[in-house]
Amino acid sequence: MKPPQFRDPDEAEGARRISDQLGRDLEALGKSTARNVPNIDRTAEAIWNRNLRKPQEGWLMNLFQSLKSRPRLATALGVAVVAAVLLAVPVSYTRTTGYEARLALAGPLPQGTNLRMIADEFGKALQAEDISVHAGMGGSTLIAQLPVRARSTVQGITEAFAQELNDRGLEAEARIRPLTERVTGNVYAAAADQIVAIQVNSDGKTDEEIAEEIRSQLEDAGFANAFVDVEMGDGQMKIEMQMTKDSDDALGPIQVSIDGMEPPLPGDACSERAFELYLSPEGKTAEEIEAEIRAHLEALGIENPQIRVFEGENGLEVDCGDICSGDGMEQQFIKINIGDGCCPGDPTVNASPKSEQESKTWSEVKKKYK
Amino acid sequence: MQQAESWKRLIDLLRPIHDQAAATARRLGRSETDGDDLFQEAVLRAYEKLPTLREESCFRSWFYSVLLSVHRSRYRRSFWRRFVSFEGSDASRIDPAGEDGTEWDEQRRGAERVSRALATLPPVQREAVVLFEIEGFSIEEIADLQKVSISAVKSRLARGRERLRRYYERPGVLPDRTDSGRNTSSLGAMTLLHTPRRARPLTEGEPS
Repeated sequence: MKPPQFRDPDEAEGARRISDQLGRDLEALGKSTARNVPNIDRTAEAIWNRNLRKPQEGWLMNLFQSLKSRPRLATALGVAVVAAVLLAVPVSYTRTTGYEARLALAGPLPQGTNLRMIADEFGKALQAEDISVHAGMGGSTLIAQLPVRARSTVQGITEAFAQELNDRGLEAEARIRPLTERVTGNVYAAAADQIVAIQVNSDGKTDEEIAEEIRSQLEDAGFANAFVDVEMGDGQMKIEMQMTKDSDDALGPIQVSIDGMEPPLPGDACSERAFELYLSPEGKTAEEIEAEIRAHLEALGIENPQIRVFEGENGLEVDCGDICSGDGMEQQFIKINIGDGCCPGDPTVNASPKSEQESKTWSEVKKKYK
Repeated sequence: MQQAESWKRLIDLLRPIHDQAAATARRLGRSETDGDDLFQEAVLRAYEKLPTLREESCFRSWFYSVLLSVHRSRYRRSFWRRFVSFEGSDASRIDPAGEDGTEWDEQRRGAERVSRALATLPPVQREAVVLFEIEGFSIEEIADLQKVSISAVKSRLARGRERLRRYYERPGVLPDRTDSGRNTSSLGAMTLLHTPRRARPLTEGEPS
């Protein structure tokens, strides 16, 4: 049996007081919220106008609504609009066109020397075509304007020349400043202007000569002390370049072109697999030819090539799926020829079918179809 | 055309219960504005669901079901709103004071206080308390609207009341009685001394 519970009179009083107050407050809430309730017609009109009225918007709003339900189309349109804007809107940017090397000479010239001689020597050292001489009361200034090349090279030569003059007893100070011009064009032109294009003709040149030519062009573009290594092997040319930015005005991305062709991008497996295969079908079944092609492709590193050789309307045909008909490089660099049949159907490949299979490098293949 | 006809039909059905339903929405909302938004959203939902209304005679309970459903979904999707201060909602609303300005002020304070307390309840408990204590719905009607059993409504009511009481027990929620006794000229003291005409103590059990 539960013992009787005795409540503290104060506690009971407090509970009753709260209960009473709650009752009063709820009634107050009931009264206050019933005041000024919006008129039903006004509420209905507000809801109708805001949510249900048939849209009377113009074509722009309708287009917006339409695009809202087609996010992919909207994204594509957005990209196109941005591209168009970038094409149309001119931007102003600064381009480094060269350097100005200044040699300030102070004090009297040593005996046996004259300003013309110094200017000639300065021009030869910098390989500058013209040297302008400004003579004044306090001294003379030789100014050479040079086309764009590595700033450190220009600075090094000028400072060395000034040092030599100092050794000869002539007070000389070297200063270099970039020559810039303000250009206005669209964003694409601005980006293209930043690309350093290195073009090398490899005909009759050794690896070291090619490397030297690249190095020289890099230096002219503002990359001093670039490490360039060229290595030929297996019909492929491997170029390794390491460089540091010489100054703030050195240019941006580098695009190397050998014999008018750009090398494949690093890691582009498809281009490295460039391959042309000629097979004679004589005395071979479709299965045997298929096995032969597969063996060649696997030897090139293509795992599980999707190859199918079959009797078509024009004799043996080969279906090489993604290997030959893929995008970009694959389509261009893997050709499989069986007698008169060819994959993927480029008629130029059939012009002189060969009886032996042969593999060509990407550059050889590309040269052929150029 | 059909859209306009449906809309007109809904408004015609709503007209007799509009004022009460709009006031209920305000009582469920955190503020009058919030309640008016709730009501408008409920009307819009009712318009969308109007084809599901079988008998027009049941419109009142049907509309209240829609109102409660919208109330709960609003609560779910606006979690952050629970942390929004009440201040500035309707406290400064200009209302006609009537002949007895003191009574009006007392009502305003009491309504604000209980609104804050109601906002601390889970939506189902808030609905049960508002519908039973203010709207005068029976427990059976509430069970029907909330689509739960009678015992579930009783439980929600009991828990809701208990929470409200606990809220009122917090220090500072109610004006201190001893202080008010000493200074009867203050509005807080007058609030305690005044007894509304139709004040009903919060009942523990089921209404008769």
